[in-house]
Amino acid sequence: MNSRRRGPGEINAGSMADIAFLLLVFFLVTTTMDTDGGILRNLSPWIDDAQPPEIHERNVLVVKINMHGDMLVEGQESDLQQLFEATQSFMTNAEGNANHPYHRQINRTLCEERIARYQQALTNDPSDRHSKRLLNQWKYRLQTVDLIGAYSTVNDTAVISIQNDRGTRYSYFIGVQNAISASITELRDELCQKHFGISYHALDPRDPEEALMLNAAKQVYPLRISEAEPFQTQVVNQ
Amino acid sequence: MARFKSKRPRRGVAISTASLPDIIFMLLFFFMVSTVMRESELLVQVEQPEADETVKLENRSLVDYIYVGAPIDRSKGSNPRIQLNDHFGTVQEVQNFIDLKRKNRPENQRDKAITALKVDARAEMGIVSDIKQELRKVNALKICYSTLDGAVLAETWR
Repeated sequence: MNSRRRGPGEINAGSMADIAFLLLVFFLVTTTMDTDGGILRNLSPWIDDAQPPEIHERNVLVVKINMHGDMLVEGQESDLQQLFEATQSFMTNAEGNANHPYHRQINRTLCEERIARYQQALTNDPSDRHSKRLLNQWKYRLQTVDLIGAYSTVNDTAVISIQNDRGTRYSYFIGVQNAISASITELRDELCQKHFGISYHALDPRDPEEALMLNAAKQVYPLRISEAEPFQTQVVNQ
Repeated sequence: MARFKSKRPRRGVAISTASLPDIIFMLLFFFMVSTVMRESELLVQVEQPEADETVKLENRSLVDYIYVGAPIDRSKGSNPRIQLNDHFGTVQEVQNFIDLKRKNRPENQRDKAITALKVDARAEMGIVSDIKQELRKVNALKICYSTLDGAVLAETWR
């Protein structure tokens, strides 16, 4: 019998390719390259029959969008660029305008006094969530003072209120959210450049030093948006 | 004189196919690495609006998706509908949906969960506001308005 001996057995590469093709087709069909991203917001907790808090007019920047896409900022017809500028002047109140929120000075003694006060409240009643939240807030403020010294910021009741019709288009709403975010980000960026020499966008929250700088920027220019719902004003914090 | 071998008609040269699976495996690894498992089949048309103040959601296991848009299948109507998981839902079902997702998560990750609202740019705010109210009621306070990357201020928004 003259059986031709082949060399060390050759694997038939054709079936390997078939297996690989099958796996490839499976992955093509079941996966997507979608990277997800968007505008992050924190909604305010639901309180059952809360009276909407009374806030002085000067502390609220009213933005209204109707179903045709017209926008009113503080009663004036505006476009996105004007909203951007109005938000910045609202947050900085550079001229001490009486229509804009008053600013308060945050310094070390104030922070320490408040921290002591809320710590006392918490030892009296450890389940007081309100005091716990405020204690954390003042701790962040003390960190900010340590980093950039005493600073002034809008008072705690200042909000930007967005009111829209049920018929308002979602894309307009996102445009407004984006413009407000962009204006605050620019202010934060100026602060970071001035105090740290780094751009706000380059800060990495995972690095402890940069996290402190991020925190400082957010404390000086907080992003507080209130989205008026029917029958209830709620505050959306970021 | 040397004798030349008569040239037989040569058969075509056989291409070695040993490297073919290697190429396919490379493509396969590329897809395995650069993609994520699709969440669910979209039953509604969602054309996300553009924004530039966006943050990337890195950990997909912490994200619950709510889709809002007109159904792809025209016979189901042209009004925007909510899609939860892989079927249509109503505003009232949002609370149950979030509770269910929450139960399937380990304890320590429950506060870090984000609800991503993937809403069609042409949808109206009424339905979105209703969803947000329901999310507030179940204490799902971290939300993300899903958008595509794009400059908004530079263009008019109409």
